[in-house]
Amino acid sequence: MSSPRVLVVLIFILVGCTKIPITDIGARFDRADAAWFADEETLFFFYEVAAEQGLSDASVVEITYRTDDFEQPWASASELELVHEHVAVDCGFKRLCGSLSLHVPIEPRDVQLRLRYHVDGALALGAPTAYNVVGSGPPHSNRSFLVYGVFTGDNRRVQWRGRHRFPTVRNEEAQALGLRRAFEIDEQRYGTAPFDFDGNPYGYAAGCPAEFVGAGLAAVETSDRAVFDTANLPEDAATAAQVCARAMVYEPRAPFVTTAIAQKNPEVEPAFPLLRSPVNAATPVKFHLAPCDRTISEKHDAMQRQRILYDGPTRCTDDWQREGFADQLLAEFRDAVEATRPAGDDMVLVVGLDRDDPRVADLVEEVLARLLPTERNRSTPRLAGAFVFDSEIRDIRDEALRRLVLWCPAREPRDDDPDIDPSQVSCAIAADNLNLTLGPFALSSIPILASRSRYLDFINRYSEGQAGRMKSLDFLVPEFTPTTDNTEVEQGVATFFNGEVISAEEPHVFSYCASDSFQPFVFRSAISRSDELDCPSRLPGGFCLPEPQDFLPIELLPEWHEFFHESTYELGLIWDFPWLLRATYEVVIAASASAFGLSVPFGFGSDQIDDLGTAFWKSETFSLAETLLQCKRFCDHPTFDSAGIYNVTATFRRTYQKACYRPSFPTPGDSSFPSDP
Amino acid sequence: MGVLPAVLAVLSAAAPATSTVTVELERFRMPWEALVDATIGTTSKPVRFDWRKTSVHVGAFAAQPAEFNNFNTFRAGVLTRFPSDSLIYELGLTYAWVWETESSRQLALTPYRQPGRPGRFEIDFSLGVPLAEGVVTAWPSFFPAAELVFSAYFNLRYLFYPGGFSGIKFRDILIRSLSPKISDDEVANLDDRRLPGMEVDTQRYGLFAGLGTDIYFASGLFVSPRILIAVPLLAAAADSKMRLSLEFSLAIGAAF
Repeated sequence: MSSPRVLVVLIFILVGCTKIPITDIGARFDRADAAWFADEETLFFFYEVAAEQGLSDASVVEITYRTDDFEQPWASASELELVHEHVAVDCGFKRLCGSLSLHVPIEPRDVQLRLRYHVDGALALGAPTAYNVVGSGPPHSNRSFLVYGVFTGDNRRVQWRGRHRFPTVRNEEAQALGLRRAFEIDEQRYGTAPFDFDGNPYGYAAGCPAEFVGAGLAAVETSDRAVFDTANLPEDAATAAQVCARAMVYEPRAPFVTTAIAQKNPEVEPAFPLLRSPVNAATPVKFHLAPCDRTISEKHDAMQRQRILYDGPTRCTDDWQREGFADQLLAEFRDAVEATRPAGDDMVLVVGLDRDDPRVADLVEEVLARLLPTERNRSTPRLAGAFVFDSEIRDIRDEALRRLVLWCPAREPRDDDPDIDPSQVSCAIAADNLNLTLGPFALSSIPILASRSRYLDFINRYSEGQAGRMKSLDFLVPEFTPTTDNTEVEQGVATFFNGEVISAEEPHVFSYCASDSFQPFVFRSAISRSDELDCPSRLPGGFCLPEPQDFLPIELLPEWHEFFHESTYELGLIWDFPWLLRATYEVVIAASASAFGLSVPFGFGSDQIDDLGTAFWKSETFSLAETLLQCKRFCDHPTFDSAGIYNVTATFRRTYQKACYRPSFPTPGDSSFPSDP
Repeated sequence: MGVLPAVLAVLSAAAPATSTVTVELERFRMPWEALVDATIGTTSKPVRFDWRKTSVHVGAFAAQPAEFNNFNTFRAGVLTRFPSDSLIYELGLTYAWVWETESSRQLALTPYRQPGRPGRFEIDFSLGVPLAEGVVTAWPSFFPAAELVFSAYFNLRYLFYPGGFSGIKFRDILIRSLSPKISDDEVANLDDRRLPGMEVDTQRYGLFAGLGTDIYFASGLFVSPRILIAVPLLAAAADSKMRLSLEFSLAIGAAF
């Protein structure tokens, strides 16, 4: 090894050739709190010490204080007589924590804590002690521990809970630092009384009215901060709003005896669990309109008939310019509908329109505009709408018809379209076929409801067999009853199907839970449809209705009821298209291979099902179970949130009208320490 | 060339070079130094015990580490050695006992701590490189002559703390065993095992180099005193404050 390398190695080793140093463990108090409660004559200490590795079982926290007639020298827990139970706490590696409670009759001064690094050592670390004095006062605010009750989800059994109250230590922190308070509950009675919870939300020491009835439940006691009654309340207690009991909290001189209250949970259930509207298969009333004196395209004509699955006669349109043609066509449509109606099923008019003059389509649209509006709101059996398979791409001109007629093929929506009608959503196609060429191979596909030009262009390159084939057309239409009431609005139609109503009373509270999905529910009431609304002077800002409304969105119901307290609300659905066409067809990926001037077409077919018109009527049931809840009793009581926290100041009425209510109630068998921050 | 022709060549070189015989012997001449070297090189090596021809050595050993802190440590265990023509491979398993001193007891009463290592098992992987060897006589004289091998030793040591992996998943144990540094979880587990005044050192692997002599008797018994010094290459990776330590050890065993 060369000399420089040897030198480097020697220097490296010599650098390490030192005695191993000693290091400070860096101990510090993260918490050094003390509080003296005059009414309890008890001085509490809470401490948390953190350090680098070095604290041990031999490290102790000591306290000292001085009163007018006594001076407590520095002493650790093992040298003191503690008032309450303090369990040993493992608060983690490199940490030391715990709590103490001492009987101190007179207000102490100079209250301090310190860490003695070793019980046999002389060195100690002083703590910046936070010391509070809580003087005499009401038990709910001037004692370190209060007791309250909560109910299980069925409001039949009470869980009695204790809650630590310290100026600088939270309830669960006191528990975590080892403090255990023993309490006992007995003489439980039930009834309903207007307790004043203002400033005393738990009703601790609020008294127990004499008219309350004894529940006959056994006494329970615990030092685990919560204990369930051993039995349910008697059935007679179902209407009682509260249970009160005698609470004994153990303290240095004698148990502190007072009263504790358990308030029942709000009784909440879905306001209208399920709105059911039967959706039935409708009978298609089919026509094929085409010129008879000439043939525009025989192949296209055959395709149109196949697509609407119609092999009946053609209704000739050669004389479409004749005066009275529209009336005659309308009459024929009506006759066909009336001939079908006795079967009792709803109907959809299906028209295959083979034309080369756009005015023919205009005329057909005019006829439909005269026919459909008179039918659409009738009770079942009715003509729910029309499906027109045109030979050209065309827009529906009549605004009202857009919500009744599926006119295919339709134009693809543009960015400047004010709105997109259902036809554009369901059967919009491009003007030209898309061909993909890969060397000698060409690939393409055509929509099942194609225009004549695209169809002829396609079969010219491939074949008719590769254009696909319609297998079935199923029309699904909601059943309307004689009392069904429809109201047309900008976004669709609101329908009150069969007198579905939500009944309510004045103290009831509704809760609406918003969700990401569209909620199609609406409501109306006597007041919303009357002239009683005196906007805006009598109404809160959210209900400034300039004129009577046929319906309102369901999310307004909680506030509406809170203000008007009506007894009945009609429930309806808002929808955008009156029927659903379920088309089952074979779609083919068409291909051709060209070589030496020859082209051989071939294809790959597969079945496909499309829902055209609207997907709304795919279901017969519309659930409100998680959308709209109704509190019918104890609505001004506090309740639990989804984390199981008892929010004592958040009553159902104030909190959940516009919030989702997903309570997590305590159940017997839960772990001893409830989550109660 | 054989020895006899070479001697003849030397003798003939001393005679007057006047005859034809002289001319004929000229081609056998060689320098004196070359003649001496060749003669010694063909002399047989004196070997009291040929350890290279053994297949395995088994022994027990004890060691006194000097870790330059205020805790006492003593190691004892067993070893197995596998010799080859030029190297010795050694595998050892020991337990290290650690106990307090008056200094560490006093230190525990203060806010200060000193790095140390709780009681542990240690697994040693050593490589011996013989540097010189030969037959030696011993004192007192009734000891027979012995084979002495002076070697350099390089040692990799794995420290295993009982209870250190408590509560840690088996997969994590495998991964952490490869880390040069003891994890925080292991340090927490060892908190109850450390001595008062001790801060658990986080080095898992030790690297040592040193010198030792192996004294083999004709029967195959051997005695092997050794001194090792810690090479602080892995200490930095383990964030260890115990960078330097010395270790004196003595092994006794038999070679087969």
